[in-house]
Amino acid sequence: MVGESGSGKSTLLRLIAGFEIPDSGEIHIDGTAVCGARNFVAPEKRGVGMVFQDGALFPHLTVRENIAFGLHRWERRSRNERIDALLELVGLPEYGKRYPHQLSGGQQQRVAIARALAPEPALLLLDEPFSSLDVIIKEQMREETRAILRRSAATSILVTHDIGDSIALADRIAILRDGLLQQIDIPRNVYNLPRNDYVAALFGKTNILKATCADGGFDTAFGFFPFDGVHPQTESFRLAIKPQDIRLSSDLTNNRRARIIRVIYRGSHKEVILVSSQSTQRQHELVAFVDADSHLAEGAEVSVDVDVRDIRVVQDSA
Amino acid sequence: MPAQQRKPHDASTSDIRTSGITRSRIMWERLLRTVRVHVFFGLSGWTLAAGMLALLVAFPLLTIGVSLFDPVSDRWEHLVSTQLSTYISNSVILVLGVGMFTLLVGVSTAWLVSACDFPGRRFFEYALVLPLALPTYLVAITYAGAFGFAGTLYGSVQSTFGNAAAVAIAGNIMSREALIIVMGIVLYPYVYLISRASFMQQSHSVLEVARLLGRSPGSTFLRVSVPLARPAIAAGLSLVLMEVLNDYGAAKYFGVPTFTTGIFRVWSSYDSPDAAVRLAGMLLLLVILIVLFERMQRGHARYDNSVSVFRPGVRYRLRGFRAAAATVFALLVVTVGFFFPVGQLLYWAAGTPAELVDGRFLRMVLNSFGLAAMATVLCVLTAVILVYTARLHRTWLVRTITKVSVMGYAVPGAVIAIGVLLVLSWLDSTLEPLLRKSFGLSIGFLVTGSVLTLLFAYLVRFIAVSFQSIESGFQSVAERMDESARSLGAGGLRTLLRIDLPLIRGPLLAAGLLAFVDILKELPLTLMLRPFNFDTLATRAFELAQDEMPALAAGPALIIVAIGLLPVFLINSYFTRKWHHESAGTETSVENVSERTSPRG
Amino acid sequence: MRTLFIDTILRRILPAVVMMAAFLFPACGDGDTAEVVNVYSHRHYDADRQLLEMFTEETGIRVNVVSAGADQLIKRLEIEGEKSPADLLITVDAGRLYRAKERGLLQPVHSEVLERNVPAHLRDPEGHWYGMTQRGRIIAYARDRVEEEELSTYEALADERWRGRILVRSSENIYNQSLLASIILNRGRDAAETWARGVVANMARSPRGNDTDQLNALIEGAGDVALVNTYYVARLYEDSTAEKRAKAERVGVFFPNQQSSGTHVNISGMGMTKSAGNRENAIRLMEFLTSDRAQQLFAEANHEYPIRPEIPLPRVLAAWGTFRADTLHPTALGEQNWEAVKLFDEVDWR
Repeated sequence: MVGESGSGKSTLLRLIAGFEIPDSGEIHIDGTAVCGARNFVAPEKRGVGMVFQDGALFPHLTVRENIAFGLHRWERRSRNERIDALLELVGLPEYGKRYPHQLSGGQQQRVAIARALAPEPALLLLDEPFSSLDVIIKEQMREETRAILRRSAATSILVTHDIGDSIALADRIAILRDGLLQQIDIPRNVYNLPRNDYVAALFGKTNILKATCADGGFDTAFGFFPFDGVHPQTESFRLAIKPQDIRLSSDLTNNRRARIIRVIYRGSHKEVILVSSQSTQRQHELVAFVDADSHLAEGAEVSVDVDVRDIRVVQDSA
Repeated sequence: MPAQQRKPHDASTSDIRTSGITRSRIMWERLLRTVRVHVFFGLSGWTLAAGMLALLVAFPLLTIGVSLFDPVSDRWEHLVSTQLSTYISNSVILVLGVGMFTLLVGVSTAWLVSACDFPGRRFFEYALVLPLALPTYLVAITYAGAFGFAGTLYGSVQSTFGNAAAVAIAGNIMSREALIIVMGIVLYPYVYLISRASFMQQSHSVLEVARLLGRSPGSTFLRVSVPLARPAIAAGLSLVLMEVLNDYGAAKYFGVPTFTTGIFRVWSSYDSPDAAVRLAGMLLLLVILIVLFERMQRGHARYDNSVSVFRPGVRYRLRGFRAAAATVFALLVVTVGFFFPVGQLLYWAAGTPAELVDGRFLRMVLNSFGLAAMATVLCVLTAVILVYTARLHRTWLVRTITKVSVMGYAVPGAVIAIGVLLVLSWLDSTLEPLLRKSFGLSIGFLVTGSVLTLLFAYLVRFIAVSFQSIESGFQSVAERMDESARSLGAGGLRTLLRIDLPLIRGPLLAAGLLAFVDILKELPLTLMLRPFNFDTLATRAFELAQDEMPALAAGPALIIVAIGLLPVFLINSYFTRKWHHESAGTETSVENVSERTSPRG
Repeated sequence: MRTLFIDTILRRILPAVVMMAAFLFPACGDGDTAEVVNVYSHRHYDADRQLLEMFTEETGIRVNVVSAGADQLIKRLEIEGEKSPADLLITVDAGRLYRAKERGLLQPVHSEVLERNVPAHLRDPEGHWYGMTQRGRIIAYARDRVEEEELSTYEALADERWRGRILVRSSENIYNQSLLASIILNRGRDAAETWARGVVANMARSPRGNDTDQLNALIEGAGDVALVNTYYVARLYEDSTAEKRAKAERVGVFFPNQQSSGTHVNISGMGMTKSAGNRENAIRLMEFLTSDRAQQLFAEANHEYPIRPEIPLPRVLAAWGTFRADTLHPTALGEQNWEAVKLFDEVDWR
């Protein structure tokens, strides 16, 4: 589940876990209503595991005791076996007797996952599990978490503000904005077929262009773009074009003209900011990524080209 | 961007620029939500238990509050037209004076011992808490007994500074100004203890940033440490102010008419207990103002440390003149607040035929100790239930009930006694016929006039002390801890026992010990409500002092001090211990529990 | 550390508290059927304790005591109502007994012994309460600065010649209220007001401390005359240290109003509560407290004046000789108490 901070994703998680009560609506887990008009299942009875941002390990308990906490109804032997298996699963078999503050951030997070998995929850909720880790560990943790979750085969909902996390981990991605679901789909479709400009913009810089339908394509501030797909039925739509899909040429091969106002060197590529030749308004800006060694001068006029398949029609969410 | 599009119940807490209609709709939704929360969570038993406890504790106070609506008698009118303004002005001056005094002394000493190093620091860390063990009225008596006319030191002052000086001192030792100092020097430890704990918890990286930005130690203290410690300082200060308001013994002895001495004057001289209760009701209003003031002070700022790893910092090493000044200042405070009064008591005790340690005396010690221990357990237990329930259900209903139930600290003991007696005798008279019918028993009073009455009264009066400490303890435990435990299948009780209580055992201990010391010193409630032939050290010391024989009171008084010292040392060693171990996880970036009503977005 | 914390509480501390409770509770609710009498008393002197022990020894009746302020005890009685365990209420001034009677908390007692021992002006005409001891409110003066001839009456203290010389405690004190009430009765309200204003104007300092503090201030020269009760002066004369006794020699005792209404006296007394369950025992205790032995002990140990003129006085009191006491009935004083308090407030006698 992806969303900016304040989008309501944590609230949704807490609603599922039973820490908040919805003003209306029902929540079902595996077909059972855990929160309906008349019933409310307490958090501890829902069989839902939860992993918090910073792990929220109990500081006064050792790693083993932390993991054992949810296993209080298990008999001693199977409990110990379960703990050993989990420590193994998260790759910390030697750390059972340590206290949380003696572990690194990544290790704490892994213990937190082990603890949440211990009682074999029907559903595992992870609330921004990587946000408190630094970039280097984060990458690694993401991989490890993926492996752990795969191996444990637990149904999991992971909340993050980083679309990269979700692309790497998820089977399905839900995008939330201001408490409203924007899109829910497999990662590939979210990336390739964003339903609206908001979702499209989640994946880094994206050009969102106002357009009107025209025969065989769209009219925009930059000129006519041919399009062979189905035209949208509504007026409120936009074109989403990724910067890397835009090709520029100084030969002026077509009638889609733009003037370069800035070129920024980004190492692997150059970022070019263009304005329409026809319009001088700043909001009609276009961003394109071009090869780092291409020679484009600021102020030069270029023609713009985009492959028909790289143009996405999205809803205007504004 | 999310700020513009909040859910309706969110808006109710922040933006009140809405029209009347939407506001009433918001209120309605809020109410609905509260009902829903209580219907869903309420049956867990916690709300039930907490609600009953809170009501029980609040009831005696409510009977006092209700008196404000009673018709006015001519005696009340006489009071308003003659003495009331004096009571109010004196009380306000005392509150301001003692407040300033305790702030200055408490905060500065706390900072000295927690952030600086100077000769004797380790000793002063302990010694500065000592005055907590002394009842205010006893300190008042010792100072009057030393510097007053025919006092122990009157002759020395006379021969050193001349007769005029001796008369001047003796003439002014019982004055409003002297009372401010006496109260201040006994009560500053509340501010000292709580703000020192806060100073020691402050993240040193924040302080180091301030130093790197070019601030001197003093300026860092004033601009960073003190503002960060403000909620703690305010908590300590509000305890001090409530103590000031309910003080009777010292103010009466020094002849300073205050609200509380007024309550007793109205009760005894006006022969109008009802007017006295009414006056106490007004006092409660004053306390509500103080509490509101504290809340407003806190505002919406957050004071928790966002850094979760704590690391003890390096102290400022004071040298030369500054070191000497620090030592002398600390020594002066401890001497005035503890060594001098105790010295005077020892002198008196040595000069009078000792009340020997006989069976009766032992019995008194046991009564004092046992009663205080039981009442302490009761206070802490109740406070834990109240705070924890408020934590489970963050609704205004629960919050209001708990707030009301901790007002008793500011009400003079004897007035609480009236409320307690009313409640208990009502309880008795409803229970008795029931028992007689069903079991054929006729036993007179069940609870009234038994140790139970006293325990209940102590609970009403002192729950605030444990409540404050436990509430702040819970606030430093991240709610995610609870939620983790709940999601691991632990119910409320198991979460409380296994997670929260172990995590707040420090504040828990502090809560118990503060309450214990206070109950040990308690007087008016004990006097009025005790069973037959039941003496405590405090009542005995008071009786002797009341007989105008302070020297004879010294013996029991010293025992109170001695017994009180033990918990004082325990509290202190808790606060002194390095937090290193726990604060790594007990963490810290928690929102203020009581401020929150709506879910996070 | 670790989880042992809660276990410690459960295993060690709670049992200790429970044991403590077991120890404390029998202390209050002892269910033995032995003869008892339950007393609510404002008096907590050692002499009283001795006397009660003597009573138990003599009669086998156990005496249970709660001692606290009279007003608090009266309120407790009132709330406890007819189920109150108290049999006897003892106070240090008759005014409080008058109040208790007014509120219907006392019941009449008729006993030949009591009626013989207690003079009529020292008991309630209907027998609701009886006097036990009495204390004179006298003028103490500094012998080196005041001639005895300068003193005459309470009223004369309002005279300008005493400007800045009078020491007296706060008007909250019942002895002062009772004194002003007597002046209202003897001289009328206006005269009483003039008197109170005069005294306030003549005070050496605003009222503070207790009677003993006034005497100490007198000794050290902070004032020249003090209004105090007799037994405080007597106690000072009998102090255990020679130094204090020598200083006490500087204090003279003057019984005012000998030519007119007589010196004002306070009465410490007792009354049986309406709820009394041990009537017989309570009456026996009341009779005992007016007996020769009890009266002598009050005088010797506490320096109070006995209610019976025939009881021999201890040396200190005897040295002051006999005096004429104001015989205004305490009931009348009690009725005027509120007037007196109002007056004090109006003239701002703290």
